[in-house]
Amino acid sequence: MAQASTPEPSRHDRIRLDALREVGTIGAGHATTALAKMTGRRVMIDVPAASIVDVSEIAGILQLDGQVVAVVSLRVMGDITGHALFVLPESNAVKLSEILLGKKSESSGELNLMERSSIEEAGNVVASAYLNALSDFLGVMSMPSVPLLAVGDSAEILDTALRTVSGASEIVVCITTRFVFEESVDGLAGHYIFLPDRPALRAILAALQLD
Amino acid sequence: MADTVLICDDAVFMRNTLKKILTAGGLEVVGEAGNGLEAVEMYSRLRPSLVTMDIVMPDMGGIEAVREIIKVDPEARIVMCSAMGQQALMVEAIEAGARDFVVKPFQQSRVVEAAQRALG
Repeated sequence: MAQASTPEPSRHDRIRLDALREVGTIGAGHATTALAKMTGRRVMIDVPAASIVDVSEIAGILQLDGQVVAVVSLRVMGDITGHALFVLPESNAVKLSEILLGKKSESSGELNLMERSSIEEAGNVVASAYLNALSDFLGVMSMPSVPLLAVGDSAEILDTALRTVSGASEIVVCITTRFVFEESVDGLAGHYIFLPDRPALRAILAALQLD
Repeated sequence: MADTVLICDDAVFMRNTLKKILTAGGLEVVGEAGNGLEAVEMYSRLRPSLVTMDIVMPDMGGIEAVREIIKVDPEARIVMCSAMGQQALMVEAIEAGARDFVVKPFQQSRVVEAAQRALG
């Protein structure tokens, strides 16, 4: 198991992670409502997971090892800082784009400009909804940067995105939520990931009176 | 003659979506800007009846662009169309001179209603 190299969290850390999971639930709930509204489909989420992980382990935790993925990454600015990622296997990104554009994909290989834009915008809308909910809950203000889409091998793409996020640190606090479209859209699923940086973690825990 | 609109959003997908909604609502889209700088330049040149403005964009964001457009034309009618639904940002946009605020993902009817209200 990939998590073997990550240190076991202490009891104190577990309490904090549980609080962060609750924060993740609030953000993911709103993000999912936005995604459902944007696509006109029912979308469900699993219970979010908050963990302290090595950046190299995240593709494995998401069960995306060896897959080609589309990752929309956004820097989070304001009172809460960090990164938000919207991650889908590439085939699911194509399906999502087809729903948003209302037509079958015209690309045989790489996504075209409009398809890329639709996926970036989906990432922007869900990340913004996530942050709006978190900001309202914590009584702070935050906003995402312009979204950036990258497509490639999961380990490589996530590693690049996450190392940008974490800087020199190999260990990050990561709140992940898996979403899945119900009924007609067979197997369309992906992940929201929120990676608060250290000052943001302190701000969140202080707002939750856990500092 | 139909009222004219300038759409400002960095996402080509969203510009396309807004164009369809506003055209179906009886407005004529006369320009599309991909950031705030382009929007200010295009507003001065095209003088549209209405501007729809995103907030988070490269080079110049939407709220700064609203301030710049209001300097050019204090009567400019601008509706913010953004995924950022936080109260503080809405207040900032309205204080800058925007007439209304529609949060993405939006309903077609809500966009048309906001546009019509701004056009008064």
